[in-house]
Amino acid sequence: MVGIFIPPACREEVLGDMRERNEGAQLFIYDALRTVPFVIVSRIRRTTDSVVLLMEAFCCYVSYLSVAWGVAPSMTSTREGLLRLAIPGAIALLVLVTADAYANPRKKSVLRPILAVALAFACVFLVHVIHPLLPAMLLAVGSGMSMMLLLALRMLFPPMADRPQQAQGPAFWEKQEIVAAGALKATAAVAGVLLLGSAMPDHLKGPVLGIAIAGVAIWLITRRI
Amino acid sequence: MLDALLNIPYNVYQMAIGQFEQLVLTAILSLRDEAYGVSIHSKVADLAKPKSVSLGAVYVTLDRLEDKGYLTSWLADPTPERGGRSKRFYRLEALGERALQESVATARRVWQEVGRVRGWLKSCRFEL
Repeated sequence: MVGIFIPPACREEVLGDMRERNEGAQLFIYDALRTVPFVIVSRIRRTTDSVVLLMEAFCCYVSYLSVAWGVAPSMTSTREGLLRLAIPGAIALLVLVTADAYANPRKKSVLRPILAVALAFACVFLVHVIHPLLPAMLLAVGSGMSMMLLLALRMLFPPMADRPQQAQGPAFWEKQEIVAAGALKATAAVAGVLLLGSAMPDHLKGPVLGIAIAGVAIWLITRRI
Repeated sequence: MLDALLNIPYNVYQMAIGQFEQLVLTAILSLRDEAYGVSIHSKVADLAKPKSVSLGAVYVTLDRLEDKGYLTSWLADPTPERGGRSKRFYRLEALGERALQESVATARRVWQEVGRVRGWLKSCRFEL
């Protein structure tokens, strides 16, 4: 049972190690509860390229946004509407990241990118059936566009587990690199603060802005020191 | 020298390792051909005393160090005491050894500095 939750790439050694360490079933399960989450997170970190993930997120959001301008323009004029447009893409990417982590590196298939994207949007539609996410037409056309863009991206930048690795080179060299990573982080931080600030009640905006400015000032001063 | 031999670009910032990574590299170095998950964990737990160390944290660090090219790993044959499961053995690579050497050299410099200041403080009749 525990083996199902462990990504296949490291299932063999993790299950063996836990078996060697623990004699009884109770100890084994307790050890598994402490160990398996770390193993899953580590596998996700290894198989996910953050730059490609960012590109995929951008493609998904832009797809739904462009369709919304034509099909449901009212959604693009409200904050809630714009946030709702991000939900299907977020679900699809969550499924894709998990699918990449649980992919078996010993079984390579050219169909894997297509199947992973299809599975991701199947999950989006499943969630939509349980709890409607967007108007049906918007979801259908937006998902179609997202699928095409994601497939193109995944063919250009295959998941980490499928990329060939240099014999002597560390694996992280295969990941895409942002040249101005510092500028990107700063922009993302400012965008995050603005997004949070815009969603905040008016009476809280002043104090929170003051605290944020003070925090940035302290951070800058301590960084200089 | 090593960069020239391996023909790889060398980034000082990527070579920096944390304390836990240092413990894991030291454990693998001392275990030699017997370095696999359980043995590395017990060695790291010994080195990290009195702090407790979880097996999951060791796996995460091993994966990260392997991605950095400090370690290589391979699966051995299955054994009955592990329920027919294989062990994944780890070996320290040249890059890992170099990173560990630099880390030890830094720790030594820190220790020398502490010793120097401590000596100065003692001469001033202060207690540390």
